Amino acid sequence: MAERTGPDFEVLFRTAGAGLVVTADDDTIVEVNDWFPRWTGMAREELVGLPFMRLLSVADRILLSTRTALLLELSGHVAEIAVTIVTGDGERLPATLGASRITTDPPFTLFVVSPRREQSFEEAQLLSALRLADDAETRRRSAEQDLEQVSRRDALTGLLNRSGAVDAVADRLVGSRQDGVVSAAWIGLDHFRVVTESLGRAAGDDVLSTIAGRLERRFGDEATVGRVGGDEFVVVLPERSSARLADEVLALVAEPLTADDVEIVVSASIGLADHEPSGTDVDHEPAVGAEDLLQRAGLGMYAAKAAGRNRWRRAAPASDESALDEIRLLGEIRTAIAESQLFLEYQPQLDVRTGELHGLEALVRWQHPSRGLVPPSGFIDVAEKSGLISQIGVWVCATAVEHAARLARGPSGSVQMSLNISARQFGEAGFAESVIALLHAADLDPGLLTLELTETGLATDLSQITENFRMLQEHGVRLSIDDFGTGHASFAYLRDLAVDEIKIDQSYVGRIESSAEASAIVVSCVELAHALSVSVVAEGVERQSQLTRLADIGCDVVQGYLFSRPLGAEALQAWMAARRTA
Amino acid sequence: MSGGLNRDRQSTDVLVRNNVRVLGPDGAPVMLMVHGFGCDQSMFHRLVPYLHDTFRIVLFDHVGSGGSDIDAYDPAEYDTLDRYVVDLIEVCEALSLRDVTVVAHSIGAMMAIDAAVRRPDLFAQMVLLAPSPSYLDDAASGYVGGMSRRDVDELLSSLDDNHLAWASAMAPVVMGGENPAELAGEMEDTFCRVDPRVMRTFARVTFLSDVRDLLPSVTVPSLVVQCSRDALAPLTVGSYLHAHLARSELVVLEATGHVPQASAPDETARAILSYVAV
Repeated sequence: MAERTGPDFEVLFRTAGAGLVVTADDDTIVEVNDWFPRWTGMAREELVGLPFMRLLSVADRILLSTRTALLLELSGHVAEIAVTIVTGDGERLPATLGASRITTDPPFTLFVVSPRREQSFEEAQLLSALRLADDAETRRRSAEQDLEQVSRRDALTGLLNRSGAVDAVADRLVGSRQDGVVSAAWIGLDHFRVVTESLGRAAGDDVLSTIAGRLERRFGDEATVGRVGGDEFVVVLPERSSARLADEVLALVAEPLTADDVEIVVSASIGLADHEPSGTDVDHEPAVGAEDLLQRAGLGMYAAKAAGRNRWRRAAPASDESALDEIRLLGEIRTAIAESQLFLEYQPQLDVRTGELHGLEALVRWQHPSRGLVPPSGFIDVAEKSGLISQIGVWVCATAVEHAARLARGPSGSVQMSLNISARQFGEAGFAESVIALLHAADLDPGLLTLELTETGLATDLSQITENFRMLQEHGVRLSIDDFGTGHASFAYLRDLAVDEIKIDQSYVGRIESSAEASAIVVSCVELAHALSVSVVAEGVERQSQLTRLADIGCDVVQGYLFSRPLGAEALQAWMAARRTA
Repeated sequence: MSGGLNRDRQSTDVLVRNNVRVLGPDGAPVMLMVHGFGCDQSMFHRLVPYLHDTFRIVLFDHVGSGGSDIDAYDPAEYDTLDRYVVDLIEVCEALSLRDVTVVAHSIGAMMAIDAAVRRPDLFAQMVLLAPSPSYLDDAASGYVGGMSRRDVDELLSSLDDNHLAWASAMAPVVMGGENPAELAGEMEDTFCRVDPRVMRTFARVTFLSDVRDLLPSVTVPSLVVQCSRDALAPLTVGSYLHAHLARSELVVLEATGHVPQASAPDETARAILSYVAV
């Protein structure tokens, strides 16, 4: 009886109705059956010796290396993996792959490859649903981020804006209550206006973005980094402030940078302040603590600017006597407003050519119940820092407008009324509307009111100032720049804001005879102003010789002790009556 | 104290979120295993038996893989390496781990490198298995990562087709018969589970991340373990890492492929043990 012969395994292998590929441990193909070269259009000789992975798309190669190979090692076989075979000609053939480890010595892997139809309808639907869900989630996320971006972030640099920074610092204070160590560095670029004025706004933006990027890269992970003013940044860190840190920031800013293709070097003035848990309300009000910390760092920056710029200064600690005095003073100012301790004096202004009364400047005074008369220098700065200046400003404006309206109805007739408004108040939304409302209420011709913009070293919102200026001017209110020539923004204001008048600072007037430089400055200010059809007021005129010189130069209006000191309402009435009869 | 309770609560959340498992003797030096793309903590399955007598082994799954809490997976949050690194550090903190030897595979090695820069205080040393600081060739610097621009474009378009997701959307694989008995209770009978939805974003993170900039900042000593034939990491990648990582050593295994801890666990374990024993 003939013994039944078993199948010839080699023939079975060669003629199997699916692709069979055998690889060695290092992934090279050692054998293929007949089906596989036929299906791929590649010769057997071409295939043998080639790494199997070479036949797969990149995604499959990754999946095979990371996942499939691992599964093979751990479980011995893998079934039904969808892959794409890429032939020598670059043709892409969808396939289903199965694999088994053959644990001979040496070991081999057997891949079984069969053609696969493209994704089934159901698979395609499932995947498209997953993708839509993914995309919707991503869109929601990005919409949320956009919103956050707008309200808390600065559009130019992407850093936190002022209110975003205050919130972040407040969070930090809550988080740090255990050890309480938080410090702030307020970084103000020096002479930044020079960059924008000489190279343009785009170059200025380049500078700001570059500095922002450097600060963010250096401190971003551990710190809160914000752009808190036009050219001011803040870095808040969970460590005590140090000279090392401040010097590092100075160096970071001072690295040359390219703005509008010009290489420039900028410097900064830095104020440092440490958060000091005081055991008071501030500790329970993180937002107040954050404001306090940032404000003190800001004051430190002004001290650094005053000391010559390109340096750092530490702010006085909150427990410092002078700071305590300030807090006490703020309380007293609030009382002064509430209890009518403030009053106005009026200093006459004269027309240089005619010698006639041109107008009055209203000046605020404080009759303190125990300390007597407090000059503006004793409280305006503090009010300015705290924001109380706005309340004082509104009171001054209402009182002066009422007084001007009363004068207009009286025997002396209409006079121009000037009053000082801080840049901070000019930068508040709604300021113009409130002035216009006051004018309406008092029935005063808006043309009789002149508002003098006083620059204060604090950061202000120039676009809001411009907007308020525009609206006031549309209603006929005259606008003036006070202390012209002293603040670093004077010329920018003159250029950017349509003003009717500038007031030459009295420090120049006082030296107009003794200093050729002061004289030259006044001459150029007058020429510049007249070229722009802006009238010029000189204040602090005390001597006849000064008046003569100012008249020669072409100054339009003067005020000073030579004519009259500031007068209370009654004294003013008498002074005006005396002039009428003179 | 409420702070203490809160912290315990958070720790528990982290341990559940990342499906953290701890093996080996209490008080032994800690070895943290960080898995890579395409699998979960079970990719260390074959390696662990060589180590778990000597070391306290901590295993975890990245969010979206294995037994992690899939609800914690937010595709927007996990779309860069960053969130994975934060998770890794949180796992260390949740267990109060110190002097950790981190054994990290593939993309896990990038996470370990990033974590070591952020928190060098946590780590004693790193063992980087089949690592790469960037998979992409960079013509500008002459760096060879293994994937050309064309490969990347092709990969990105297949990610868009969701090819990876559906290629891997298969039933969990059942472990082979050679399952070490001592681990039977510790390991589940299914492994390498990856949520198909996660594959797409994770692949992007894996193959588009580039941590070359971080290398000079690494102070934690490291062992770079490379395979002699790895489709995803050419030999030059290993020498690049060795050259740019201060205090690093390089060993090239005879093992081929990308997952030496599975294909050559004994050789891999020898390399690790002789390094950490020094």
